[in-house]
Amino acid sequence: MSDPFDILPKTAESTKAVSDIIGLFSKLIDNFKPFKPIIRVANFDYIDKTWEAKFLLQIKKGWKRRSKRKVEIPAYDGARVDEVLAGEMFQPMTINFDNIDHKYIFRAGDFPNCENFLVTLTGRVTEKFLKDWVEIRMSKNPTGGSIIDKYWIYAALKNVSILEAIHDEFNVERVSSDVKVGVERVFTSAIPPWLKQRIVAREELLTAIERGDRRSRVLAVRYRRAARDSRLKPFEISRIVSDLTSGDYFREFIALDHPFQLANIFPSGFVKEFLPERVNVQVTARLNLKTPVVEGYLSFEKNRYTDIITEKFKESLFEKKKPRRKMKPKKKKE
Amino acid sequence: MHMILDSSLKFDHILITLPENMSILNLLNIEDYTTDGFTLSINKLYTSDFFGLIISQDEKLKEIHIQRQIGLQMLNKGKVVHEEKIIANFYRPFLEVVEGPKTIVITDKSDLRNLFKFTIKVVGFGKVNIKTEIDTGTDIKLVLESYFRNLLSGLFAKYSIGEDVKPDDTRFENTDWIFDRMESSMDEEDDELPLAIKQERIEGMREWIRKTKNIGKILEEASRALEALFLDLLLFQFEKYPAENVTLSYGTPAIFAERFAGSITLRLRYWDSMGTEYEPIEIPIEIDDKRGEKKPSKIPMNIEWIRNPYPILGVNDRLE
Repeated sequence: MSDPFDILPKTAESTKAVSDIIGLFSKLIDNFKPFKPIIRVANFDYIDKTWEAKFLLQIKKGWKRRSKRKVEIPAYDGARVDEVLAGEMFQPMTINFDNIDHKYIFRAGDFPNCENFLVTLTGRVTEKFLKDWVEIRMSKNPTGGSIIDKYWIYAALKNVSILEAIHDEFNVERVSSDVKVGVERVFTSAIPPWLKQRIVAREELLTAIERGDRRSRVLAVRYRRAARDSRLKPFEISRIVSDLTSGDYFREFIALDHPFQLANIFPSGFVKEFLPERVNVQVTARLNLKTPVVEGYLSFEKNRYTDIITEKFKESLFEKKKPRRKMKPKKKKE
Repeated sequence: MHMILDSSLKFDHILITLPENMSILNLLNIEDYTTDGFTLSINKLYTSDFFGLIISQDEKLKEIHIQRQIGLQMLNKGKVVHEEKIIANFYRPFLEVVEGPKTIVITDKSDLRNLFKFTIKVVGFGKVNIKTEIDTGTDIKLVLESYFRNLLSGLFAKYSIGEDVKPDDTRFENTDWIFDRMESSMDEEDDELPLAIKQERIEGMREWIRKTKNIGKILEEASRALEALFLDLLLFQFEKYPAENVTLSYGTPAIFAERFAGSITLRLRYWDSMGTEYEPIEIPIEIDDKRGEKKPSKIPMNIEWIRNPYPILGVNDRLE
């Protein structure tokens, strides 16, 4: 039998994408060294693929300040200075940017008369980094019986070696998973029986025409009558279906376990405008050192949703123009 | 699987023992480890509060449900301080033929729509995606999606019932290329669409569409065509999802032919939601075609589905 550990790297070294980020943070700390930097917090945003780090700089008053020491942060690394707040009152201040060499210049002599400065830097991360860093799993098959469909969701940090560069706190915000909630039978089971019969009548007619069957004229009359009594409005159907699968409406039938949050809802499938097969529910959670793993369920109230759709379809979709004529039961021809 | 670790528990190693046919896809919060083939020895975690493993089952399941035991030991200076057996559950979907014809006799009076009837039971867990094939002995033909077939034949049917054709001006001449293309595509011998459309029909439609006075009708027909398209989509959707968790990718299987000879085999190939294909179901049927008149026909293979879900252990199962 093959080694079950074959596919793993021989040592659990962090991947290149992860070590690149560690490298970037180490370099930033290095650049700020004269100002005794401490990274207070680093937040990663899984959806926007960005990071934001807050550095606390300590610049002593006195002769050192006058010595005109300066720190330069090159913008080429993808780190951007978002804001600098000075002192206890968090007064925003401007930092010079050198347009020729593309770098931020922190000149100690320019700083106001206080010791602590909070610098916010932002940048982007790659999709690869996030994939290497966070493990996301969810069920494709719902459990939970016939009334409620439950989908399991799981997200975990694979590797916290990023701590080597960040000493205080980090968060991965909005770690997102798209749970595909199956609605493939919800819409079809809401279709009224008379319409199903009409579809069958149409099938019969087409088959008869193809085969050159003599009955085709009779069938055509029957089908046309059925079609005249009940006029379908495809655009209206499309509008109603998109209302029913819109986030505002659909979220009422979705419940999420703590700590997951609902982000986005959109239908998908072969003909999602008319009859969506799935509704993608994007859920998010925050991961950090305190909660490196989150796990829970998304519950979809399938039965209640189906009942309401059946009701809506009855009300507005397939409204008949006039009641069908009552036919006297005919004697069956033998 | 993952474990949140109690900070009072002191350990220097974690040993994980895996059964056969399982492998580890990923490690969570594990900084250093060694392996000897069956055992994973975790030497260091990044942070001491949790660790996790993503494990997969490599063998294709024969049974509906199997259980595998994963061993976990935590050691401190060579002594076991904590021990656990973790049970992993694996499920698969399973198809079974309950009822189906062995022989079918077709006569001129046969109701072709209700000739073939099967009952198939779906057991096990999870969604199942089925593709049907009909083996006629000579070659295997995938059954075409009835959706496209109906769309085309529907168009022709619409324009050919009871409309009087009178010569008028030739406003719609520029539609000719459509008909030319239709005709030329019908000439091709390897045309896979067994549409029995007669030459006269195409001619009739070509004439009818040229009439100026038919514009109103044409517009109405266009709106009708949209409605028909919707009905076709509905029909296809009914056929595609015949039962809970069952997808028939090509809709209801059907055979298209003028005359059948000998035997055919209805084959149902199926996959689970992870894309694993299982041993297909094959239903051989002897066909005795006694029809006098040679007519091209579509004969659907009607399947009744019985769902018999497998009881899943507990509510909190983490199933993918």
